[in-house]
Amino acid sequence: MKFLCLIVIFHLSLCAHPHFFIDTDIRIEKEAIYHLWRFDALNSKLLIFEFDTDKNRILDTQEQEHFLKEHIAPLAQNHFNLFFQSGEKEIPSKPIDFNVSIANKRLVVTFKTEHLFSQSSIFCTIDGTLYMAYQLHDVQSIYAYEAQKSDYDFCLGVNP
Amino acid sequence: MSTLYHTFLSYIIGWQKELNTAITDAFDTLESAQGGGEVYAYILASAFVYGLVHALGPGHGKMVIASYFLVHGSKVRDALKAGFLISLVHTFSALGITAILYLFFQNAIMKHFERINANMYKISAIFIMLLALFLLFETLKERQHATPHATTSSKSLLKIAFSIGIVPCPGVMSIVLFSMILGYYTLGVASAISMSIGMGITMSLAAIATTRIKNTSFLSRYKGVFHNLSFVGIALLFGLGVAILV
Repeated sequence: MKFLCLIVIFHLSLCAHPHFFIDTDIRIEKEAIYHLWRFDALNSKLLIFEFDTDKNRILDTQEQEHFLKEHIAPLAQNHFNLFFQSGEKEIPSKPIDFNVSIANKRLVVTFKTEHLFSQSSIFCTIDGTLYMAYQLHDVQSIYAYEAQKSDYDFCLGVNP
Repeated sequence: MSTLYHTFLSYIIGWQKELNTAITDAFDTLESAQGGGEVYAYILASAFVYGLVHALGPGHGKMVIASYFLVHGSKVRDALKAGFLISLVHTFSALGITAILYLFFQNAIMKHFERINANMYKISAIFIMLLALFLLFETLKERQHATPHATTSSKSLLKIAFSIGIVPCPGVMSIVLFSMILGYYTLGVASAISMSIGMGITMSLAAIATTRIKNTSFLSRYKGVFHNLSFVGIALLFGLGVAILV
């Protein structure tokens, strides 16, 4: 474990500092986790400038797909920066139902991951490269939970 | 140790986020035509502090600069120069790439930026490995002739600055692009320079601290042991280059 920690720390030290600051809202339901990623205002401006090609301040389906292809699809190689463990077993996350919108000048991405909370589970959002810093903003859960968070990642322990 | 590092990292990232928000809010004030000179000054001051804090975090080659001065040793003045030179190259690399992206690739700025950044990291990794080999050569030469280095030549300082600074600073790029999109070109460039001065101070402090450690009487007493440890430092530096490259 210590060795693993050292590798993670070494990896963090090599890589770039956060480029995106993302406020995250989580809603835990019986069979799914609903995620909301709100990009920081500065980067939202840059992303909206690039992806809202018709400059109407609404991201239509084509613009959303373009954004998802460029910025979300590459995250698949790191399981979309999502980690889910049910009991002792790690379960890969498969995000679905993506939606990208603009709210209060900020780019917002929502999606869900299907998980059956049959036993105590741990859910984390972390980018090992630190390119994206995730800050837990709000949690709604039908189950009891405990949160462990920093300014760049967070974990939730859920007890159904 | 791991907890301490994560707490430190969390603070740095938290501060950067706050400064990022402060700068964005200040631009909003300018946009709403409510601000004047004081908002310009506030943005430049925020960019300066952002630079100071930004360079405290991972990246920016503090490990490279520390390894270099620990192995090579130098005067405080050279360490100061090296820190600011790295920051300057880091900023101008970002400014140049941002200008090209803004002028010619408006529809794919972020995509190209990420690709350029990834490739620049690879180029930087090769430079870091070459720097390690150069240090090895110098250390072996020093061993043969017993002539320790007192100063670092301007050529060597440039080598360090380019090997580390060539990767454009994403923080600088974001602020400059943001300013350009809003039409504040001069303020964007001025913010980048202000941020560069902030980063330069942090980088220089890291370099000076290493130079001071190298020059302590404690280390002078164990010169032989320290000389052998230099090889470990060089190996680590080379390993760092390899790790970034693969």
